[in-house]
Amino acid sequence: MRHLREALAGFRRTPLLSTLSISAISLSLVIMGLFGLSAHNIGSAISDIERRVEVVGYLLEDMKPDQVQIAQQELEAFPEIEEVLYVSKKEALANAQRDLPEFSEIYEELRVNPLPASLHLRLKPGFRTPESVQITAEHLRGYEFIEEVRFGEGWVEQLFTIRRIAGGVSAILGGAFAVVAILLIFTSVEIAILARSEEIEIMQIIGAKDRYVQFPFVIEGFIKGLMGGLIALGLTRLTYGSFRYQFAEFDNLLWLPNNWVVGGVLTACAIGMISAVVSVHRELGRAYAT
Amino acid sequence: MIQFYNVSKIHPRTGSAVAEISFHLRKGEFTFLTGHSGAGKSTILKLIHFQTRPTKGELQVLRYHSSRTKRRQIPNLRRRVGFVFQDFKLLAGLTAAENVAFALKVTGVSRRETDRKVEQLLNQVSLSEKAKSLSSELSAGEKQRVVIARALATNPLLLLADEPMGNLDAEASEEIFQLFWRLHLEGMAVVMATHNTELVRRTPGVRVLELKNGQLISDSAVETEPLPSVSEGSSLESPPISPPQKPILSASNKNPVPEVSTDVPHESAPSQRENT
Repeated sequence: MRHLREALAGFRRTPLLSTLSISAISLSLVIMGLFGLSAHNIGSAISDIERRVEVVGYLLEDMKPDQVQIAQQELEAFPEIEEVLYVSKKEALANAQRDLPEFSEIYEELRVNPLPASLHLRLKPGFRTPESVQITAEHLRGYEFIEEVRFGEGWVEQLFTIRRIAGGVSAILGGAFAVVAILLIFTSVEIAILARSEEIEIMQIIGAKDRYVQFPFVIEGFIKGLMGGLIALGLTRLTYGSFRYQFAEFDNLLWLPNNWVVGGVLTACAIGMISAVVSVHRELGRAYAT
Repeated sequence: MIQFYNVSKIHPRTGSAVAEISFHLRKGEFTFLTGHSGAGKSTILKLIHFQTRPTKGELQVLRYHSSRTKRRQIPNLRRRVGFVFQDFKLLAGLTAAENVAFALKVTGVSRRETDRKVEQLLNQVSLSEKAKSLSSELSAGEKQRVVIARALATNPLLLLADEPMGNLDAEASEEIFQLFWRLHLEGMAVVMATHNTELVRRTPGVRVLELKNGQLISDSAVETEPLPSVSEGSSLESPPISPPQKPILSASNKNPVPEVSTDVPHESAPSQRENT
């Protein structure tokens, strides 16, 4: 309780520095938040496309239904396969009429359904790579009742390349933003502590124990991180809301996942505390020079 | 109370600050550390206060040994050894009373006890009427009184003073010195660094350690007692002090308060302050 009182007293003693410190933390976290928002939405869009990656095997006319059922069960047992969907000839025709309405009249005039039945294999997340798609296609080709296998080879490879580039750019930019945010938080906490270095020196000369000096600053660092994190969260949410309100095309923009939000604020608190520990430790060390 | 055994302090960048210093100060003794700027006076005070450790040799302050005292024990030592600076080191935004209370709060004294003790300490330094004045509103002499009150807050056995009159005019210097002297007469050991030779000359019966270029060139006690020597198979647990002698100056000493001559040249300005 004493440490908390002292920490709050620290805000009263240096109001301007504390405000600047919290503002700097907020600003750096808003940048992180907006970057996270962009990365999350781009990642989500790519995942949406990836979810459509499927390997389709067209069946021969004379295959037996029980053969398909057995094949379905076997294929579902493979680790990379999420789901095996059987589309009968009739369903294929209905789908074609729905998806290609411009040819609906032609389909109606047909006496025989020319469309083959098919097996649609969806892959699990993490297996939507060109290699896994190839392997799945090979599994499918192994069945004698499969006439042809299609999976859009070039398209899958392009998608995978886009995913890799997006991941790399996110990691580099995210890492850079994170480093800048950490440095900014550290510097602002350090400056606030430096401004009170004389107070620390006096405390030590009087005979204060290290933890007596350190704890209030650590709590202060935590509070700064928390306040900075919450202000940044509010500002990011405001920006997100304004975007959705101003631009109709951003209407389905996703908000950050809860674990990112909680993780971000807690990380800010942790960085605030660690910065305080490091800075105060350095100040304390000056009075024990060897 | 304080024992130095061949203590040397060498700064990695600036070189030797003090070399092969040995002396022994007793309980209640008033000691002047004299010498020019850079002679090593401040280094000796920092060594006594464990703000720095010897590069060579060994020193003991109260029951704390330089080679064995852990960092976490140092605050306990510092509560028994008050420190008075030339440049005060008061917290500008606090009043005189709050500056004194700060020391009590830091050392875990209750709020009620703090109020009582602050009043008593400010009385002791004759500054009760300025209790509510901000430290920035006080004169240099008054500031130094607050610093002394703060140093006394933890009931120290020893007061270290680094050029305490260095920033004061002659009148304030005299008042502050008389305050130190009074504390000494009440039983407090005082080690005061000064290069005011006139003050030292006019103060009878005190211990004077004179330093030059980091070396102890004279010790007023040497004429009457031998300095302890480590080379004679002694250990710090049983310092080789023999035979027991009458203290040079003790609490029972009835010496009158010596006056600080007004024609004494002023001690160094802050810019001239030694950095040793």
